[in-house]
Amino acid sequence: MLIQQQYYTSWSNPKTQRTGFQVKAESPNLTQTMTEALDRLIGYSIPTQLDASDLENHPVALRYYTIDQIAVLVSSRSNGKDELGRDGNFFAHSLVGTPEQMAYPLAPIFYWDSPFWVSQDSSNQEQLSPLERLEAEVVFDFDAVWSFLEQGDRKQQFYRLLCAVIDYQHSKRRIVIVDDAESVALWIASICTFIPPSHCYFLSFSTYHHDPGRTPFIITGTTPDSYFRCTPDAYVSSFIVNTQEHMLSEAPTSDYATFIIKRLSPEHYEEEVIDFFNWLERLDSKPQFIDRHLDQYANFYQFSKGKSEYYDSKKLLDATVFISDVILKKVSLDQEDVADLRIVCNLLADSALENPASDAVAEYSRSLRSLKIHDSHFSETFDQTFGVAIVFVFAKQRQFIDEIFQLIVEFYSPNLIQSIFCQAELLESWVQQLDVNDIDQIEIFWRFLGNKLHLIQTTEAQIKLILHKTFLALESQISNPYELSELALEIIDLIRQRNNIPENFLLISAASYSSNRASSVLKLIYYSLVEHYSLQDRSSSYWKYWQLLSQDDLQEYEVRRDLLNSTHVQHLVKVLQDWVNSVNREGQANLLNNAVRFILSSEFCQSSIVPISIQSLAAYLLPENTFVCKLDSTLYNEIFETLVSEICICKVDGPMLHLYQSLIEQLADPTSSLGRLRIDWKYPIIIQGAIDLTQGMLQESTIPQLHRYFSSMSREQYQREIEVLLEEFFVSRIDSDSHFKIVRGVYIPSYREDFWTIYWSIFQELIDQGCVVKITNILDLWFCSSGDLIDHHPYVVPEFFSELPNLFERIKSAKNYGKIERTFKDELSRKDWHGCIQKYLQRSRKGLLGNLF
Amino acid sequence: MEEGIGVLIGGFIVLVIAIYVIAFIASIIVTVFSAVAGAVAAAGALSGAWVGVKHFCETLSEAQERSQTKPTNPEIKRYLSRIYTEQPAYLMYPYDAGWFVLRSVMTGVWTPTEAESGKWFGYGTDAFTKASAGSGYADKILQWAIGIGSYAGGLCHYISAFFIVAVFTFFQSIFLFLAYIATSIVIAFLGIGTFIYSRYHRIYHRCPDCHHQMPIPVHICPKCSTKHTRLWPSAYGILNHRCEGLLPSGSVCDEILPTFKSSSSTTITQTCPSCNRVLEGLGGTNIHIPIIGGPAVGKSHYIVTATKELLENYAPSAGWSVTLPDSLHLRDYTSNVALINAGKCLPKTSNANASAQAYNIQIRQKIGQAVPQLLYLYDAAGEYYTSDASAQQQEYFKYVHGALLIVDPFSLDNVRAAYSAELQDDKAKGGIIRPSGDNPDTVYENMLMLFETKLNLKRNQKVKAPIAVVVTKCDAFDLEQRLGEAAARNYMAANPKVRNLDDALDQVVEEFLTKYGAGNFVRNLRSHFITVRFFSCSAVGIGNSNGSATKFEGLRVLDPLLWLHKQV
Repeated sequence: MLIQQQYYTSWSNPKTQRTGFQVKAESPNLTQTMTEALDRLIGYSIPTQLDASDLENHPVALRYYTIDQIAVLVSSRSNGKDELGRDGNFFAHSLVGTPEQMAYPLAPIFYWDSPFWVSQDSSNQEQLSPLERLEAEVVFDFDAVWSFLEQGDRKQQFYRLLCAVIDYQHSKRRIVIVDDAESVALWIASICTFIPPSHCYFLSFSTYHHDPGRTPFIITGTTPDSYFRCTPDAYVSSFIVNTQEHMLSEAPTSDYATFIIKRLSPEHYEEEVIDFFNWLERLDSKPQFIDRHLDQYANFYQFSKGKSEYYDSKKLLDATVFISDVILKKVSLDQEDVADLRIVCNLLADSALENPASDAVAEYSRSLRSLKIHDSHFSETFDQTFGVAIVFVFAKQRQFIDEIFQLIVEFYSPNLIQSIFCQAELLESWVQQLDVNDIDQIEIFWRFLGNKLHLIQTTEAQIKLILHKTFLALESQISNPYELSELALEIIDLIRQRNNIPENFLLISAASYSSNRASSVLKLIYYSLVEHYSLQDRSSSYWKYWQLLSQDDLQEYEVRRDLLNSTHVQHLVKVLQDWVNSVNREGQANLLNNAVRFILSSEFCQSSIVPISIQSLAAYLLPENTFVCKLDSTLYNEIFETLVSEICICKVDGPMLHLYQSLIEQLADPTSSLGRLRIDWKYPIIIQGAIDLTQGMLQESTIPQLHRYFSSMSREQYQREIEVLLEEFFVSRIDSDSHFKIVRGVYIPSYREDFWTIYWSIFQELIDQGCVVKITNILDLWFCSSGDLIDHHPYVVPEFFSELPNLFERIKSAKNYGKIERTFKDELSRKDWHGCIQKYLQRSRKGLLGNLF
Repeated sequence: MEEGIGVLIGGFIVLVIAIYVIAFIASIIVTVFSAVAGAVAAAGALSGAWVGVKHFCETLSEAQERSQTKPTNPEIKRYLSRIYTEQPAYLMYPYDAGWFVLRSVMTGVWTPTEAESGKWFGYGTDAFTKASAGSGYADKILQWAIGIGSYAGGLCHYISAFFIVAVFTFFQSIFLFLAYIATSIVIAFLGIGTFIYSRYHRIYHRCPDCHHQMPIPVHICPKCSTKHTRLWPSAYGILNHRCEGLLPSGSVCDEILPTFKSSSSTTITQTCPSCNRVLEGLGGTNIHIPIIGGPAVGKSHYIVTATKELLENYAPSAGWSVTLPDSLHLRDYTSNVALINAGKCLPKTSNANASAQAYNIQIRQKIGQAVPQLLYLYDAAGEYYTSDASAQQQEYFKYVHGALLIVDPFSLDNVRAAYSAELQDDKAKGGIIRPSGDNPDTVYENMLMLFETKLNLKRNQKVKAPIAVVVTKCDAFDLEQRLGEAAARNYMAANPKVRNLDDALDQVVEEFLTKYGAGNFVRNLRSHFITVRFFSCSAVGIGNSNGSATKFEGLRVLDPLLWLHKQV
């Protein structure tokens, strides 16, 4: 496309006889669109306060505007008198072409004051030849920009002006510079100097316009006497640089402007700004407008060069993501684009490391994915990616480590990954970073890195140190070798699962660590290795280490841990049995006694998975002859004592009943171990009582013993025991024989009150539960079968019947009496003794208020 | 037997006494019970009433406070936008805040009431517990009475709150409804009144630059620069609007913007909604008069000298108050007057703007005249009337009340021929006559076309607007003798029927134009315009056209303008 020209001024056209402002001459190919665009841009009016004849002081209006890929560059200037000799004429020399023709390589403002611009045309030419390219002589003094900005507070004004230019696309705030046209040209030249050349296309401007409020330019210069009013609200709705009144509008800050303002010197410009422009032009040669994307470019450039004075992870992330998008939108990427993409990856890695956040890691992952597609040397990024993973590991960024390691596995070859674990220097740095006081870090290390450690000659020393540090960390977690924290167990489990470190090396390292200190680490490691194997397998593969490592207590620890891992008593006894059977005959008694001592110890109680009562243990242990014969007598006695120490007359389960029956038999046999023991006279009574209660048949021989037993008690103990006893008794079936046998056994005259209190309270519970039949049966017993009781306890029966009226009152006042009343009365009415109690069942008549009291 | 009867009677008496005593005691118990329960319940009721009023006041106060700062409900704004153009301002109380307060009170009172009544129910529960645990009858009665009374008191809290809220809801609803009706009536009354008043006085708001006619200029909030497009009595306020724009800090502006100029001394910037030009002094009876003429006929000179004549001479003598309300117009006028006073020609009027800019002149013919007249004098560059395309952009022709067509006598070929030697001489001496190169027919045709298209005139329909045809440059050579007062007096002498100098001047100028080859132009004028009058004048003054003048003084420049003013 050729550049079309036009001259416009006031003249007298002899052909049309028209006078006044009209086209003087123009290129033949100016289209209607171009002419219309020009009509809106060429208008010029001398500032009202200037002398119309003083041409030298009239501002020159150099204007640049683009519309629909048409760029217009106009120089309008006052040129004195018109064809009639009046002042106020102007001459507009316009060029119409493409933005590239007008604004590249030099921004249009630099054609300011060029002799190329025509301001008078006295010729008769009507046609102007189009120009192939804009070859106007440039007389603009580029260095003037520096001196111009140096003056006064122009730097500050320039910063804000640049901010406003960058914000224009978003805010559409018109920029008005109230200054002389020369200065306005310098302001615009400064802007054009400091925005990338490819962006100068979009910076429309007019160095002068008499009415900036009605112009389409981004930047419009004007004079104080123009039609533009610098009212307070205008400073908000427009961006105004009013050098006459030293007023300046506010503008949102721009990172690009900040970047530039810090390089506002010729040296920095040459070194950095030009470099930035070149980089930007390569990256984005066809921008769409001047906007805040420049902020992103500037931020990225600074971050990539490491020149950002402050670190803002959000800005870094935003900038890198933006640049990444820009690069990836390209149809094809060249080497420099790939290099930029690498920088994106590097910066995103930095961002992810500096401020680990899901979006940062996600973007890093995305950029790696993109780079993998375009970069033939992608594998070179392994060190960095792995470095990120390592930092995450040591920084305990658990939530992101998985993602990064997945990327590593996905993107890089296994050999490459494995190779890094063979680097002694790297391992050395890991050793240094491992914090023995940070068990979480150790756990994460072993979870993500430890399992890939590869034992070779070069790494052996470092792995030893890693293990050493791990053991130290574990040590701090071990207060009880049988009761480990979840984390410690997790670490031990992770160590156990490693593939490339032989168990032998592991155990020797642990032994080496534990040799100089009283440490349980070796035991822990050892047990973690063996615990999943059967005893038979252990004996063939691991028990050799008892000797090899000179650790005598390994076996004991192994047994104990096995016992602690028992989930129930039968399991425990089975474990014990297996262990006894797995060792030689000489060692069986010793192992058994040690194991049982451990089971009886508080250590076991604290550490076992499930609580195992000694009673239940004894129930399984004492009947076993294989155990009893090997048990030390004192230990046996201890078990028995422990068993009976909290024994009471109560119902027991099947194994316990079996044990009790066994014990009774043994007690009866003076030759038995138990028979030889001197035991308290109460225990056989309690055991027998429990057996009778469980079987529901209280033997006549037991009753006197029971009576003796309860008589020997203190009041508190009596209360406690008979409450349990009577409660269980009342729950089971009720027959006259059992009921009165128990009454005979437990009724102690001196504790009469306590007996009846508990008796009636249990009775009350039956009432509350609505056990009508049971209540009737008990009453029936007392009415019909209590005669024998008088022989043993003459006052029991009177005591019962003296309280009977109160009992009925309680029954009647029971909450649920209404529900059971009919059934209860029906049941009672069938009894012969119904007449005796009938009167107690009648409801008393109470007045209206009677229920209140 | 008698003893038996005596015993029986005695027994009966004892029984009666016993019944009486029991009844008496029972009545005392019931009375005491009722009294205690009643007293406690009354206390509860009083507390409920007091607490209800207190909570109501607190809730109301809080709601009122919040209603002042809460953002206007966008749904209501959207709904009201069918009637009232949406504004960045708070709606009046009956439209939004009042309903917000009502809703807040209706929902907000119950929480504190529940807490307060809960205490009384707690007292009741405690009393019943004590009654159950108590041993003595008196204590039980007392506790039961307190318990029942407390429960009743707790209930009274709800009743009180419900009653207060119900009363408030009723009265607030009535108030808001009535206020809504009342404000709507006031707004409608003001709107209709303003409309009638504006139409009667021909008060319009038209931008002197872009000629856009607007119902009201855009008002710019002086605090936050938010644009208020309808700062007039509406749902957003009758006397003022409260700005809801945002300050740079993010807080709400809250500036009070008066809807009536007299109601506040605050000066609010007004702008044109179309071109954003700052508007000053709009709002009088509009009189739009374009000054029409080809290039260099002396339009700008005419406007400035006529305005100067009006301001400096005519207005003081006629008792008029004439001002230029627009500061930019005043500035331009002042600088132009300075040039004229220095005997310098005004520079050529630029055609930099797409359309002519108007000078606003505010005229008050009487002291205290409520509605001033606002004269729009359109100074269009001559080029606007020499091409069809430019002429079509003169949108203000839709509104014009009269036109002032300036004719340069030297633009007529015959006049130019008659004075060719003098003109050559003048040009050589650097004179300022500078004959316009455009024939008045061309300008006239474009002007007529503008009238016909902008006013949608039918074929053969005449233009009602009066037109003053002003032949300028009478100062040149001997034109004053031919066109001026002397010529008019001669005409009156020759035509005794013509007794008025102005009528004579009208005839003289018409005849001059006809004589010098513009007969067709004159006939066209007469055939297309109902009211036509011819004038002659000089914008520079006699003897000042040779370029050596030290000051320009207009000659009869005001007459055409005054005639037009009188006509419209």
